[in-house]
Amino acid sequence: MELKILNKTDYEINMEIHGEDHTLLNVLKSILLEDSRVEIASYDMKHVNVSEPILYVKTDGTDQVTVIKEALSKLISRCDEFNEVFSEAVKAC
Amino acid sequence: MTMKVDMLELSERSARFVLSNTTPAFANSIRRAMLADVPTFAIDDLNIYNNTSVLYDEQLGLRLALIPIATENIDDYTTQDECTCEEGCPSCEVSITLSAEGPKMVYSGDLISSDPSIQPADTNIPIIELKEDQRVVLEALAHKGLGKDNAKWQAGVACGYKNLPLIRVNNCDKCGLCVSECPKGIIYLDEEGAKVSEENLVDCILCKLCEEACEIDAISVKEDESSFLFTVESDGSYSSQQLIINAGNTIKTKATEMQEILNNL
Repeated sequence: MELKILNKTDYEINMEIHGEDHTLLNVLKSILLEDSRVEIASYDMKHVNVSEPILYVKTDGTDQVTVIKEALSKLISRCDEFNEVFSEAVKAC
Repeated sequence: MTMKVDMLELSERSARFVLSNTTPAFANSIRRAMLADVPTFAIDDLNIYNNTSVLYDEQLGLRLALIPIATENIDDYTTQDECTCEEGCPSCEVSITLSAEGPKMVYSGDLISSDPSIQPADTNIPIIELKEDQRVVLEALAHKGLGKDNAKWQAGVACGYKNLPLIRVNNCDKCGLCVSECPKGIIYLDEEGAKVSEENLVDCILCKLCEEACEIDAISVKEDESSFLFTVESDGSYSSQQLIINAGNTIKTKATEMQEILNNL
Protein backbone atom coordinates (compact mmCIF):
# COMPACT_ATOMS: atom_id res chain seq x y z
CA MET A 1 0.00 0.00 0.00
CA GLU A 2 1.17 3.51 -0.78
CA LEU A 3 -0.40 6.78 0.24
CA LYS A 4 -0.13 10.01 -1.66
CA ILE A 5 -1.63 13.13 -0.17
CA LEU A 6 -2.91 15.17 -3.09
CA ASN A 7 -3.91 18.23 -1.09
CA LYS A 8 -4.58 19.10 2.49
CA THR A 9 -6.12 22.21 4.00
CA ASP A 10 -7.33 22.85 7.56
CA TYR A 11 -10.64 21.24 6.77
CA GLU A 12 -10.12 18.90 3.86
CA ILE A 13 -7.82 16.15 2.74
CA ASN A 14 -7.55 14.28 -0.56
CA MET A 15 -5.40 11.22 -0.61
CA GLU A 16 -4.70 8.62 -3.22
CA ILE A 17 -4.42 5.10 -1.84
CA HIS A 18 -2.46 2.82 -4.13
CA GLY A 19 -3.25 -0.86 -4.23
CA GLU A 20 -6.54 -0.75 -2.34
CA ASP A 21 -10.16 -1.00 -3.43
CA HIS A 22 -13.71 -1.05 -2.06
CA THR A 23 -12.80 -3.79 0.43
CA LEU A 24 -10.98 -1.31 2.65
CA LEU A 25 -12.25 2.05 1.45
CA ASN A 26 -15.99 1.47 1.74
CA VAL A 27 -15.83 0.22 5.31
CA LEU A 28 -13.38 2.98 6.22
CA LYS A 29 -15.69 5.60 4.76
CA SER A 30 -18.68 4.24 6.66
CA ILE A 31 -16.73 4.27 9.94
CA LEU A 32 -15.54 7.84 9.26
CA LEU A 33 -19.14 8.93 8.79
CA GLU A 34 -20.03 7.60 12.25
CA ASP A 35 -17.67 10.23 13.69
CA SER A 36 -19.44 13.49 14.51
CA ARG A 37 -16.31 15.52 13.72
CA VAL A 38 -16.42 14.33 10.12
CA GLU A 39 -18.62 16.34 7.81
CA ILE A 40 -17.93 14.58 4.53
CA ALA A 41 -16.17 11.30 3.90
CA SER A 42 -16.16 9.74 0.50
CA TYR A 43 -13.98 7.99 -2.00
CA ASP A 44 -13.85 7.79 -5.74
CA MET A 45 -12.53 5.20 -8.14
CA LYS A 46 -12.50 6.51 -11.67
CA HIS A 47 -12.20 3.05 -13.13
CA VAL A 48 -12.91 -0.30 -11.47
CA ASN A 49 -9.59 -1.95 -12.17
CA VAL A 50 -7.11 0.57 -13.46
CA SER A 51 -7.39 3.62 -11.24
CA GLU A 52 -6.43 4.14 -7.62
CA PRO A 53 -9.11 5.25 -5.17
CA ILE A 54 -9.04 8.80 -3.86
CA LEU A 55 -10.28 9.30 -0.31
CA TYR A 56 -11.79 12.68 0.52
CA VAL A 57 -12.43 13.69 4.10
CA LYS A 58 -13.79 17.01 5.35
CA THR A 59 -13.84 17.63 9.07
CA ASP A 60 -14.96 20.43 11.38
CA GLY A 61 -11.32 21.51 11.74
CA THR A 62 -9.89 18.50 13.56
CA ASP A 63 -6.78 17.09 11.94
CA GLN A 64 -8.01 14.70 9.24
CA VAL A 65 -5.09 12.30 9.61
CA THR A 66 -5.93 11.83 13.31
CA VAL A 67 -9.57 11.19 12.43
CA ILE A 68 -8.61 8.62 9.79
CA LYS A 69 -6.20 6.92 12.20
CA GLU A 70 -8.93 6.66 14.79
CA ALA A 71 -11.31 5.20 12.22
CA LEU A 72 -8.68 2.61 11.29
CA SER A 73 -8.27 1.65 14.95
CA LYS A 74 -12.03 1.20 15.14
CA LEU A 75 -11.93 -1.01 12.05
CA ILE A 76 -9.12 -3.11 13.51
CA SER A 77 -11.05 -3.64 16.73
CA ARG A 78 -14.13 -4.60 14.70
CA CYS A 79 -12.14 -7.21 12.79
CA ASP A 80 -10.82 -8.58 16.08
CA GLU A 81 -14.34 -8.63 17.46
CA PHE A 82 -15.61 -10.44 14.37
CA ASN A 83 -12.88 -13.09 14.56
CA GLU A 84 -13.53 -13.53 18.25
CA VAL A 85 -17.31 -13.96 18.03
CA PHE A 86 -16.92 -16.15 14.96
CA SER A 87 -14.43 -18.46 16.70
CA GLU A 88 -16.74 -18.67 19.69
CA ALA A 89 -19.68 -19.59 17.43
CA VAL A 90 -17.55 -22.29 15.79
CA LYS A 91 -16.64 -23.73 19.18
CA ALA A 92 -20.27 -23.65 20.30
CA CYS A 93 -21.58 -25.63 17.34
CA MET B 1 -23.92 -3.13 20.33
CA THR B 2 -21.56 -6.03 20.08
CA MET B 3 -21.36 -8.18 17.00
CA LYS B 4 -23.04 -11.55 17.11
CA VAL B 5 -22.55 -14.69 15.06
CA ASP B 6 -25.10 -17.52 14.96
CA MET B 7 -23.76 -20.57 13.20
CA LEU B 8 -26.41 -22.38 11.20
CA GLU B 9 -24.33 -24.89 9.29
CA LEU B 10 -20.63 -25.58 9.35
CA SER B 11 -18.80 -28.20 7.36
CA GLU B 12 -15.30 -28.54 5.98
CA ARG B 13 -16.14 -26.78 2.71
CA SER B 14 -19.15 -24.63 3.45
CA ALA B 15 -20.74 -22.53 6.15
CA ARG B 16 -23.93 -20.62 6.78
CA PHE B 17 -24.12 -18.12 9.58
CA VAL B 18 -25.96 -15.02 10.68
CA LEU B 19 -23.84 -11.99 11.46
CA SER B 20 -25.79 -9.39 13.36
CA ASN B 21 -25.27 -5.97 14.93
CA THR B 22 -22.93 -4.76 12.23
CA THR B 23 -22.97 -2.41 9.25
CA PRO B 24 -23.59 -3.32 5.59
CA ALA B 25 -20.13 -1.93 4.80
CA PHE B 26 -18.40 -4.33 7.18
CA ALA B 27 -20.39 -7.32 5.95
CA ASN B 28 -19.54 -6.43 2.36
CA SER B 29 -15.86 -6.06 3.20
CA ILE B 30 -15.83 -9.54 4.69
CA ARG B 31 -17.53 -10.90 1.57
CA ARG B 32 -15.14 -9.12 -0.78
CA ALA B 33 -12.13 -10.21 1.24
CA MET B 34 -13.22 -13.86 1.12
CA LEU B 35 -13.58 -13.70 -2.65
CA ALA B 36 -10.59 -11.65 -3.66
CA ASP B 37 -8.15 -10.88 -0.87
CA VAL B 38 -7.36 -14.16 0.86
CA PRO B 39 -4.10 -15.50 -0.61
CA THR B 40 -3.90 -19.06 -1.93
CA PHE B 41 -1.56 -21.15 -4.02
CA ALA B 42 -2.25 -21.96 -7.66
CA ILE B 43 -0.22 -23.34 -10.52
CA ASP B 44 1.07 -20.33 -12.40
CA ASP B 45 3.90 -21.53 -14.62
CA LEU B 46 4.73 -24.73 -16.48
CA ASN B 47 7.83 -26.40 -17.81
CA ILE B 48 6.60 -29.01 -20.25
CA TYR B 49 9.07 -31.77 -21.07
CA ASN B 50 6.78 -34.03 -22.98
CA ASN B 51 3.19 -33.64 -24.05
CA THR B 52 1.89 -36.06 -26.64
CA SER B 53 -1.68 -35.89 -25.34
CA VAL B 54 -4.61 -34.48 -27.30
CA LEU B 55 -4.53 -31.21 -25.39
CA TYR B 56 -2.37 -28.24 -26.29
CA ASP B 57 0.17 -27.18 -23.64
CA GLU B 58 -1.84 -24.02 -22.93
CA GLN B 59 -5.07 -25.88 -22.37
CA LEU B 60 -3.32 -28.26 -20.03
CA GLY B 61 -1.94 -25.23 -18.20
CA LEU B 62 -5.41 -23.74 -17.81
CA ARG B 63 -6.74 -26.96 -16.37
CA LEU B 64 -3.86 -27.35 -13.96
CA ALA B 65 -4.16 -23.73 -12.81
CA LEU B 66 -7.74 -24.20 -11.70
CA ILE B 67 -6.96 -27.10 -9.36
CA PRO B 68 -7.37 -25.80 -5.81
CA ILE B 69 -4.23 -26.27 -3.76
CA ALA B 70 -4.47 -26.59 -0.01
CA THR B 71 -1.79 -25.05 2.17
CA GLU B 72 -1.29 -25.47 5.88
CA ASN B 73 1.17 -22.65 6.43
CA ILE B 74 0.57 -20.05 3.74
CA ASP B 75 2.07 -17.26 5.88
CA ASP B 76 5.51 -18.85 5.52
CA TYR B 77 5.44 -18.02 1.81
CA THR B 78 5.56 -14.72 0.00
CA THR B 79 4.11 -13.71 -3.32
CA GLN B 80 6.49 -13.58 -6.22
CA ASP B 81 6.31 -9.77 -6.44
CA GLU B 82 7.31 -9.33 -2.82
CA CYS B 83 10.03 -11.97 -2.86
CA THR B 84 13.64 -10.82 -2.95
CA CYS B 85 14.61 -13.46 -5.49
CA GLU B 86 14.25 -12.87 -9.20
CA GLU B 87 13.49 -16.23 -10.73
CA GLY B 88 11.76 -18.22 -8.02
CA CYS B 89 13.01 -19.61 -4.74
CA PRO B 90 11.67 -21.99 -2.06
CA SER B 91 9.98 -19.15 -0.21
CA CYS B 92 7.79 -18.06 -3.11
CA GLU B 93 7.50 -21.10 -5.31
CA VAL B 94 6.49 -24.73 -5.00
CA SER B 95 7.33 -27.22 -7.66
CA ILE B 96 4.72 -29.83 -8.54
CA THR B 97 5.55 -32.57 -11.01
CA LEU B 98 3.30 -34.68 -13.16
CA SER B 99 4.44 -37.69 -15.05
CA ALA B 100 1.90 -40.00 -16.65
CA GLU B 101 1.72 -42.48 -19.46
CA GLY B 102 -1.40 -43.81 -21.17
CA PRO B 103 -3.71 -45.53 -21.25
CA LYS B 104 -5.10 -43.90 -18.13
CA MET B 105 -7.10 -41.04 -16.76
CA VAL B 106 -4.86 -38.47 -15.10
CA TYR B 107 -6.30 -37.08 -11.87
CA SER B 108 -5.14 -34.24 -9.64
CA GLY B 109 -4.01 -36.93 -7.19
CA ASP B 110 -1.24 -37.83 -9.65
CA LEU B 111 0.44 -34.46 -9.06
CA ILE B 112 3.49 -34.83 -6.86
CA SER B 113 4.33 -31.79 -4.79
CA SER B 114 7.85 -31.07 -3.57
CA ASP B 115 6.41 -29.73 -0.32
CA PRO B 116 4.19 -32.23 1.55
CA SER B 117 2.22 -29.41 3.23
CA ILE B 118 1.12 -28.06 -0.15
CA GLN B 119 -1.13 -30.52 -1.95
CA PRO B 120 -4.09 -30.45 -4.32
CA ALA B 121 -7.23 -30.02 -2.21
CA ASP B 122 -8.98 -32.87 -4.03
CA THR B 123 -7.37 -35.93 -5.51
CA ASN B 124 -10.19 -36.83 -7.87
CA ILE B 125 -10.24 -33.90 -10.30
CA PRO B 126 -9.82 -35.26 -13.84
CA ILE B 127 -7.09 -33.48 -15.81
CA ILE B 128 -6.74 -35.41 -19.03
CA GLU B 129 -7.43 -38.81 -20.49
CA LEU B 130 -4.39 -40.42 -22.09
CA LYS B 131 -4.61 -43.13 -24.75
CA GLU B 132 -2.01 -45.76 -25.58
CA ASP B 133 1.50 -44.27 -26.02
CA GLN B 134 0.45 -40.77 -24.99
CA ARG B 135 2.62 -39.11 -22.38
CA VAL B 136 2.59 -36.03 -20.21
CA VAL B 137 5.72 -35.06 -18.32
CA LEU B 138 5.80 -31.62 -16.80
CA GLU B 139 6.89 -29.50 -13.90
CA ALA B 140 4.31 -27.03 -12.63
CA LEU B 141 5.25 -24.06 -10.49
CA ALA B 142 2.70 -22.93 -7.94
CA HIS B 143 2.81 -19.38 -6.65
CA LYS B 144 0.95 -17.50 -3.98
CA GLY B 145 -1.56 -14.99 -5.27
CA LEU B 146 -4.81 -13.13 -4.72
CA GLY B 147 -8.24 -13.75 -6.17
CA LYS B 148 -8.43 -10.17 -7.45
CA ASP B 149 -5.61 -10.91 -9.89
CA ASN B 150 -6.96 -14.17 -11.27
CA ALA B 151 -9.82 -16.52 -10.41
CA LYS B 152 -7.40 -19.40 -9.95
CA TRP B 153 -6.27 -17.81 -6.69
CA GLN B 154 -9.81 -17.37 -5.44
CA ALA B 155 -10.34 -19.25 -2.18
CA GLY B 156 -14.03 -18.49 -1.68
CA VAL B 157 -16.17 -19.67 -4.56
CA ALA B 158 -19.73 -18.91 -3.54
CA CYS B 159 -19.68 -16.22 -0.90
CA GLY B 160 -22.65 -13.97 -0.44
CA TYR B 161 -25.12 -12.63 2.03
CA LYS B 162 -28.65 -11.42 2.30
CA ASN B 163 -30.37 -9.35 4.91
CA LEU B 164 -32.58 -11.04 7.44
CA PRO B 165 -36.22 -9.96 7.30
CA LEU B 166 -38.07 -7.91 9.87
CA ILE B 167 -41.63 -9.17 9.72
CA ARG B 168 -44.28 -7.19 11.55
CA VAL B 169 -47.89 -8.23 11.91
CA ASN B 170 -50.48 -5.72 13.14
CA ASN B 171 -54.23 -6.16 13.50
CA CYS B 172 -54.31 -9.43 11.58
CA ASP B 173 -57.80 -10.70 10.69
CA LYS B 174 -56.56 -14.27 10.19
CA CYS B 175 -57.76 -14.47 6.58
CA GLY B 176 -54.85 -16.80 5.72
CA LEU B 177 -54.07 -15.18 2.34
CA CYS B 178 -50.41 -14.59 3.28
CA VAL B 179 -50.04 -18.19 4.42
CA SER B 180 -51.10 -19.56 1.02
CA GLU B 181 -49.10 -16.93 -0.90
CA CYS B 182 -45.75 -17.51 0.82
CA PRO B 183 -43.54 -19.53 -1.59
CA LYS B 184 -41.38 -20.80 1.27
CA GLY B 185 -44.36 -21.78 3.41
CA ILE B 186 -42.95 -20.22 6.56
CA ILE B 187 -46.02 -18.24 7.67
CA TYR B 188 -48.57 -19.97 9.88
CA LEU B 189 -51.72 -18.89 11.67
CA ASP B 190 -52.32 -19.07 15.37
CA GLU B 191 -54.90 -17.48 17.68
CA GLU B 192 -53.34 -14.00 17.43
CA GLY B 193 -52.87 -14.04 13.66
CA ALA B 194 -50.14 -14.70 11.11
CA LYS B 195 -46.74 -15.65 12.52
CA VAL B 196 -43.29 -16.70 11.39
CA SER B 197 -41.26 -18.89 13.70
CA GLU B 198 -37.74 -17.74 14.63
CA GLU B 199 -35.94 -20.67 13.05
CA ASN B 200 -37.78 -20.27 9.74
CA LEU B 201 -36.88 -16.59 9.49
CA VAL B 202 -33.66 -17.38 7.59
CA ASP B 203 -35.71 -19.07 4.84
CA CYS B 204 -37.56 -15.84 3.98
CA ILE B 205 -36.46 -14.57 0.58
CA LEU B 206 -37.94 -11.09 1.10
CA CYS B 207 -40.23 -11.51 -1.92
CA LYS B 208 -42.95 -9.51 -0.12
CA LEU B 209 -45.74 -11.57 -1.72
CA CYS B 210 -47.39 -11.79 1.70
CA GLU B 211 -47.43 -8.00 1.87
CA GLU B 212 -49.13 -7.80 -1.52
CA ALA B 213 -51.60 -10.55 -0.70
CA CYS B 214 -52.76 -8.92 2.51
CA GLU B 215 -55.86 -6.86 1.84
CA ILE B 216 -55.73 -4.86 5.06
CA ASP B 217 -51.92 -4.20 5.04
CA ALA B 218 -51.55 -6.05 8.32
CA ILE B 219 -48.22 -7.65 7.46
CA SER B 220 -45.05 -5.78 6.56
CA VAL B 221 -41.67 -7.19 5.55
CA LYS B 222 -38.54 -5.08 5.74
CA GLU B 223 -34.85 -5.81 5.48
CA ASP B 224 -32.95 -5.81 8.73
CA GLU B 225 -30.00 -3.61 7.74
CA SER B 226 -27.83 -4.87 10.57
CA SER B 227 -28.25 -8.65 10.21
CA PHE B 228 -26.73 -10.69 7.42
CA LEU B 229 -27.17 -14.29 6.50
CA PHE B 230 -23.85 -15.36 5.02
CA THR B 231 -23.39 -18.32 2.73
CA VAL B 232 -19.76 -19.27 2.31
CA GLU B 233 -18.23 -21.97 0.20
CA SER B 234 -14.53 -22.70 0.00
CA ASP B 235 -12.78 -24.33 -2.95
CA GLY B 236 -10.76 -26.48 -0.57
CA SER B 237 -7.66 -24.29 -0.25
CA TYR B 238 -8.87 -23.55 3.26
CA SER B 239 -11.54 -24.96 5.51
CA SER B 240 -14.58 -22.69 5.41
CA GLN B 241 -13.95 -21.60 8.99
CA GLN B 242 -10.33 -20.71 8.27
CA LEU B 243 -11.39 -18.80 5.15
CA ILE B 244 -13.76 -16.58 7.13
CA ILE B 245 -11.19 -15.89 9.84
CA ASN B 246 -8.58 -15.13 7.18
CA ALA B 247 -10.97 -12.65 5.58
CA GLY B 248 -11.25 -10.81 8.91
CA ASN B 249 -7.49 -10.88 9.30
CA THR B 250 -6.94 -9.57 5.77
CA ILE B 251 -9.01 -6.46 6.44
CA LYS B 252 -7.20 -6.01 9.73
CA THR B 253 -3.81 -6.24 7.99
CA LYS B 254 -4.87 -3.64 5.43
CA ALA B 255 -6.05 -1.27 8.15
CA THR B 256 -2.88 -1.78 10.21
CA GLU B 257 -0.72 -1.14 7.18
CA MET B 258 -2.52 2.11 6.40
CA GLN B 259 -2.31 3.20 10.01
CA GLU B 260 1.45 2.63 10.05
CA ILE B 261 1.88 4.70 6.90
CA LEU B 262 -0.17 7.52 8.43
CA ASN B 263 1.87 7.35 11.64
CA ASN B 264 5.07 7.82 9.64
CA LEU B 265 3.82 10.81 7.66
